[in-house]
Amino acid sequence: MSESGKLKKTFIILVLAGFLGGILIELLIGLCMSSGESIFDDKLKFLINLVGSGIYGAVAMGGSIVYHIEKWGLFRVTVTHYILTLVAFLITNSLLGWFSSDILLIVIVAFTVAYLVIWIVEVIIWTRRIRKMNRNLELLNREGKEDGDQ
Amino acid sequence: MKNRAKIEVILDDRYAEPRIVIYANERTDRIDSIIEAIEKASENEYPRIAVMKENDVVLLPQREIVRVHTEGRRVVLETDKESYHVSRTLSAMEELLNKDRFIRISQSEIINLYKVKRFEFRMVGTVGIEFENGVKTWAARSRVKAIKQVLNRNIGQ
Repeated sequence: MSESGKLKKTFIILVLAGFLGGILIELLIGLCMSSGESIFDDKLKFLINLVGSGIYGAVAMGGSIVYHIEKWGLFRVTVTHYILTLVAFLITNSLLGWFSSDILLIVIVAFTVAYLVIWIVEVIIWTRRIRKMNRNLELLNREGKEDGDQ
Repeated sequence: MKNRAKIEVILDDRYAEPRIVIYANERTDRIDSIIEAIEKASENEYPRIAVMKENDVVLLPQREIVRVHTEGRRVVLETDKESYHVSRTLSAMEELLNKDRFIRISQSEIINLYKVKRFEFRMVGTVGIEFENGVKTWAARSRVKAIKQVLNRNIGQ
């Protein structure tokens, strides 16, 4: 299979997994937050919430395909995924009313901080990884020169 | 014969690949000749690569190759000083090259690990590679694990 074919296959799997994940999370939250009355009482509202969560999950997970684009650096993929999921969240929130406008700003800040933390952790991990690779490269070059490999 | 180098062969199960060590009190032309002869002999397992230079075909030893990459639809092979076109696909080159020395770093490039000067993690989050001849390129993050494995295998870790 070609690289673009593999990418398409991965994208479809991610979208499906995200859709199912979104539905499952919505069900779990619904069950946890229901106090006495069944979440199934308002069937239409329940269905809209379920589908909305599924679509949001599909966008968030499907959007993570950007991490598979070889040419894109970590900064670009993180920012792209952040914007994608934030826009999808704002649209879904305005349609489904997950969070009221008075706490929406706090949610957005928390959302942004989460991405910032992920980015910083990734940078630390990669910097260490590359430093170790350079140490091993030095050993390889030393050994190579001793062996007349260069 | 008086000037003949003393050769000792030690059989040891720990060495799947032959390891050759030369003892001498200084590095001389004679030592370099011995190294060259050993390299030529051991290279037979990994064929020289036929490349086009103007209208001639040149057979390049694999150790001279810095990188092989695609430029549009063409496959280009680079040594320290020159570039050549190769009439094979990148995947075919990958099959042909010594897997302990060469590693695929992206969809469009294979590099000689022994020609790498250093790796760097750039602020934009890409993995840069600088070769000893000053040429720079980048590796896909998804391929870094494989690069690490080949690197570790070569230094016996």
